[in-house]
Parts: sequence; structure tokens; C-alpha cells
Amino acid sequence: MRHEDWNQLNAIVIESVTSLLASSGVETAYAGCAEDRVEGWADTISIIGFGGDKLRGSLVLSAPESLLVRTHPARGTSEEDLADWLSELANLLLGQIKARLSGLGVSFVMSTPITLSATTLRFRRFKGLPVMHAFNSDEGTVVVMFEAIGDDNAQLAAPAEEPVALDAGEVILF
Amino acid sequence: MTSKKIVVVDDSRTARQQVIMALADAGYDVIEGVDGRDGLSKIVSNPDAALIICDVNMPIMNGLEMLNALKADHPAIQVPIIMVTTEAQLELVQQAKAAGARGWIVKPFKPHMLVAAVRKLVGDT
Repeated sequence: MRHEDWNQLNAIVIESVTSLLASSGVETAYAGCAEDRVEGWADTISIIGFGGDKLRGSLVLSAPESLLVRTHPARGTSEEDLADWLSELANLLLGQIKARLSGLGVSFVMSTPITLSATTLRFRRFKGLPVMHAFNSDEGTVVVMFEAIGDDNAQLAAPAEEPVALDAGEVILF
Repeated sequence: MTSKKIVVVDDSRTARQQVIMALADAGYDVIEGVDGRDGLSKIVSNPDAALIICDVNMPIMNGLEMLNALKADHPAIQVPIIMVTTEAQLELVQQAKAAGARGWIVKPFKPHMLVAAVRKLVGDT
């Protein structure tokens, strides 16, 4: 993919994180990105993979425990509740990225997410270009790593003239 | 009066809890399935269910596979199904519609919107 495609992809990731957290009542400010960020990671992270013709890779989400408690839709507070909610947030986030990318001609299949807890986190092996985005909120730092491999010949398409995806929260009955 | 029974199939416990809270507040009884295969089993053992709410991306058997298996293997079970999922592509929505789904809701959803859709499909409006 072209450099401008990667920039557009990263803009979509940032927009998706901001919008998803806002829908849960958490306002965030983008705090920049780095290819290797070791600060701000929580003890528990969720990972979700994706794969398609033009793009494949994984998304890693880290959020402070207090943010998970505040936004849990069923007011769960146990360790298991919060781990499951972090997984669901990673799923929701990748879903929103996928919906936005579908309007640019990119389609992929999502895996089911997993959640891991660790005292020290190091990312050792990358196939694609990892970009770690940080977001400040009043509950602490949210970190999202989006690591992807794009087909060399693939490009993001011009925005579709007709909608190809529904909006978050949209309900349709047949 | 007996409450109507709704089968909720989602691999995320949080997502199931969110749906259950909304439906319980609206007076419905809920049966949970944790993936497509488990959901299919719960549907078959509860043929009196008024509605099925089902995620798409799940391990073991996904929601669209569950829908197709229900249609192919248990044609006598004619229960309306709403897909509630992070997936938003119209192509998938059309696939679900062709397989017999009656509705599609993109997560994250507003609980009152879910309840309104449920009431409409079970005839409680």
C-alpha cells in the first residue's frame, strides 16, 4: 500500500477509537503514535486478528481498569467481567475500523478476541508495521497497537458513492 | 401471564449481560447460548421461544452458520431472528436476510432500540 494509504488507515484507527470511547461516555485526546511504545500499557490487554486480500494483521487494546469499570455496560466489576469487556471493546473497535474501511474497498474477516494479563509486556516479533497510538482520558491512557501487512499492489479505493455498511447502533428490520 | 422467552447467543459474556438486562427490564425471560453450536442446541430444546438474538462472529459455529443450520436441519422451527453484531457490511446483512433473519443491529446499540425491535418482532407493540 502507498504511504498515503497507511496515513489514511491510521486516521481511521484514531477516529474509530475516539468515537467508540465517546459512545461509552469517555472523551479522549489523541496523544500521538510511536513504532515502539513501552509506557502506558495496562496489565491486561486484548488482541484481535484480521485477514483479507488487501490487509491482514492484528489489533492490541490496552485500557485502564477504572475506564473498564466506568464503561461496563452491565456494571460488571470482577476481574473476569472486565477482561471480557476489554475483549468486547477490541471486537467493537475492529468492527468500526472494518466498517470504515469497507467504504474504501478493503474487506477482511475478524477473529474472535483473546485477553491476556501480564506484569511486563514486550512485543518481540512483527510481520507488519506496528503503530502504537496513545489516547489520554480522565481515566488514564488507552493504547491501541494496529499492526498490519498490506498487499504491495493494493490501494485504498476512493470513498464509495453509496453506503456499503450500516452505522454503529443502526437497527434495520426486514 | 407467562413471560415470552428469548434465546440470546453471543460468545461475549458482557454482550449477553447487556442484552439480558435490557430484555429483563422489558419483562422477557432469557436463555443464553455461548456460541453458535450451543445456541442451536438451546433453540432446539426451547421451540416455544418467541425470538432469537444472535451475534455473528463466534467461535465453534458463527451466527450465520447457526442460522443456516437451523434452517436446514430444523425447518419446523420458525422463530424470528435478529443479528446483533459489530459487523456492519450490507453484503453480510443481505446474506443474513437471505438465510431468514428478520433484523440486524450494529453494536454498540442503545438498549431501548433493541427492546423496540424485539417488541415489534414478537408482536408486543
